[in-house]
Amino acid sequence: MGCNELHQNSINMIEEIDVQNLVRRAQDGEQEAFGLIYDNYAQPIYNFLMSKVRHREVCEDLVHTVFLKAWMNLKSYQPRPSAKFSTWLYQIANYTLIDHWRTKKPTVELDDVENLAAFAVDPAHYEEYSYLWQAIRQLPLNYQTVLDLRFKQDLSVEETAHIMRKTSVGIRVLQHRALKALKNKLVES
Amino acid sequence: MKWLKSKTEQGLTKLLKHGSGDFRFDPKNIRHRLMASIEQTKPHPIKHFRLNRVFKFSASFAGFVLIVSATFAFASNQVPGDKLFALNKAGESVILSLPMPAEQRAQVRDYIVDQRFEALDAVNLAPGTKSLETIKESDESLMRAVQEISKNKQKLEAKGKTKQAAKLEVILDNLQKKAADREKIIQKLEDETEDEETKARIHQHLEQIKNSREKARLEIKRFQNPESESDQILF
Repeated sequence: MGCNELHQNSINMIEEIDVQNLVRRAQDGEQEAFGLIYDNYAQPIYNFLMSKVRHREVCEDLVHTVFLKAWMNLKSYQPRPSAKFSTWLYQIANYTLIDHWRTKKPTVELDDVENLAAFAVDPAHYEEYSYLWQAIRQLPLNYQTVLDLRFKQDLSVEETAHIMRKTSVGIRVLQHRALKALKNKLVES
Repeated sequence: MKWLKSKTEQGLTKLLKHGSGDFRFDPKNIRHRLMASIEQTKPHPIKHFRLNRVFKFSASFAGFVLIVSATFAFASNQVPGDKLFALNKAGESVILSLPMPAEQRAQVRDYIVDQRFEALDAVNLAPGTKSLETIKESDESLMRAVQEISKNKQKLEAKGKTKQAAKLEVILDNLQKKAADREKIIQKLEDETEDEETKARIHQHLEQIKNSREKARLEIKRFQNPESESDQILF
């Protein structure tokens, strides 16, 4: 399964060149252009956050925070040939998530109440992989993040390294360890 | 084993990719909230703005320093009569205004006199309109050098620093020898000059150079015979 197939799940993604045009317009203060950027990336960012936070309302608040931060800091964004705009957004999402874990108030865990599949577009699909979600959830946060970015969001090693502020080698090592840990968890279960 | 490992990893990555899907999400509600927040929130000004200004200022300053340095470097080769010679002299004044030991200051003075004398040598080879200006500058640089070095030498002697004073004496001695050589060149230029007014002025500078050289000679003599009060020169 390639990256294109993966993103078919999300809203049809627009080309990077079009995204950069929207970014330029948004940098000039065009709010509607930023709205279109949101439309393009809201679902993948929500997926990224939801797979870790597992609380719909909290996750919606985090998505709002991520895009508001992006808007406020949009003028400092500078396109790089090696990184897409989404890399920058994921970076903000990752830091927002870390901030959330640092300051989070006690909430009722979703899994204590309902299965994650209840919030999936295709519940059967999530039911089918529930054992996988359970195993991933037991991993350290940076393991979860690297697996999410590399395989669910299908980002490159370089993009993941940029988001997690690590070197490419560091990401490869982290990914290897995360997969090893996941394998052990799956064997245990 | 490595192959097996990679196969396991491949299986897991496939599983992860298969297991991923979208969560149910109502983007419209958040979009509405977001657009309302954006309406009230102005984007942060670019953080690099100040940095850019600092950078631009630094670049301008560096450019200015570069231009000034290059101009001074170019002007340092200018000889009396050249357009940028005044800048060369200004650069020398800046150097001389810096605090430095008497010996180093004497060396700078000696260097300046050398530069003027070299220009004089060039005029000797190709006489022209710069002759008078070059002679005048040679005269003035020698006079200032002899005056300052003699004064500093006397101060050092008064403090009992005879070693340092002796070093200044060596420089003075060199100066008076170099001046003696140039007196011949100036005499020759005077003889070749037909214009009476210019001739008179060259003669005047020649006399002053002789006078400076004599002062240097007497200062050296006084140093060698400190009891000979009659020979002491006061500047």
